[in-house]
Amino acid sequence: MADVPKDVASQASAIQVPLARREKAREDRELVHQAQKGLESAFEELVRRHQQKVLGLVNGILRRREDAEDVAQQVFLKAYISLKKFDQRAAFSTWLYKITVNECWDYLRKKKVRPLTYEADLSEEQVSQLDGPAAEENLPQNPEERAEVRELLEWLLGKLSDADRQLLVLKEMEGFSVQELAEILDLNVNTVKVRLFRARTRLMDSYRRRKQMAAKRGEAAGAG
Amino acid sequence: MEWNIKQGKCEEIEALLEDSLEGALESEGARNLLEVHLRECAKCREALEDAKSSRRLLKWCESAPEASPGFARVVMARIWAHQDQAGSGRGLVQALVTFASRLAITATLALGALIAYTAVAPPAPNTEITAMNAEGRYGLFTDPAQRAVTRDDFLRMVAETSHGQK
Repeated sequence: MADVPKDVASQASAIQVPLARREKAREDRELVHQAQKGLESAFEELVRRHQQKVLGLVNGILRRREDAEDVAQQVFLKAYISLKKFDQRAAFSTWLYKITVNECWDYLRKKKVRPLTYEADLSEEQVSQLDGPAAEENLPQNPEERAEVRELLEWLLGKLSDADRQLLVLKEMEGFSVQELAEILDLNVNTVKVRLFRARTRLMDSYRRRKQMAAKRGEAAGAG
Repeated sequence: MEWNIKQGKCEEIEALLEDSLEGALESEGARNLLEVHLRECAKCREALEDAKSSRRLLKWCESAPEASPGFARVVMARIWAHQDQAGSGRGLVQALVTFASRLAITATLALGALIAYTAVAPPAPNTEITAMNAEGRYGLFTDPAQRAVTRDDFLRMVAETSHGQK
């Protein structure tokens, strides 16, 4: 097989992604149509196709794994109830993700909690463990160390505003594209990009501040 | 889109910085604009490095767990439970509506019958006799003087009423 130039290969994959999305959207449309006629198996198939994304979205907003699956199921129930009114002018996924975002906010309002709360501050030892991840690409092999680093990152995320955290989590951890985020959150694509970029720098600010504080405490303890 | 390099202020460049982070800078003009801006602006260079570091950090976080194997079935079960609940609620409402409509039809019929009866009924009887009958004292006899005292008196008066008065 002849070598395909790198540029051409990357362009071809860039074209294939929207094509795959379009095909998926077309299949969704057909399934929605059947479900609207009362075919329950069609709706069940829609659930299967979107369950992971909805779960990721719920988890990204709530950051409460224990409740994520229950809320995600509630999202699909609401979608089923409203399905007859869905006119398919938007993609089914966009419509479903909007229901998801609303359901998450309803949940948070009812529970009267912030999506993520950390009462305790990080210890100096914990902060020093974050030196590695920012510089290196790979996670520690040791599961305990890995869990600890993840906990520290969750703590850092918890220090961000709800809006910043949601954008970062949905983009970086749950794999939503900028375009999808713009549609779900009713924002302009450029606004999403700018907010994302600012959220990234704020995360690093928070990380750096915490490190500096830990260093100062360490110096003070050494001098004492 | 053509980019004007003179317009490359920090606020205007942020979306391009995010694009460059994602490897999504498509146009030559945008790439040039960003390059020129970054050459001159230390603040944006630093912000870009921060954004790259935070991106690396976030890769360490765990994404959402896989949905449980029976997720779709549980969703369908919840839908069916909801339908049953809604169905029984509708049944109760339906029964109430049926009862109310039957009651309304019965009342209408009764009212119609009453109106029809009133329209075709004979004129009201002598009020004096009616009043006396209501009191139950005089019975067939309108004259208090004719009131029977003994059983024989009564039989005689009945005989007179049936025969003698004709």
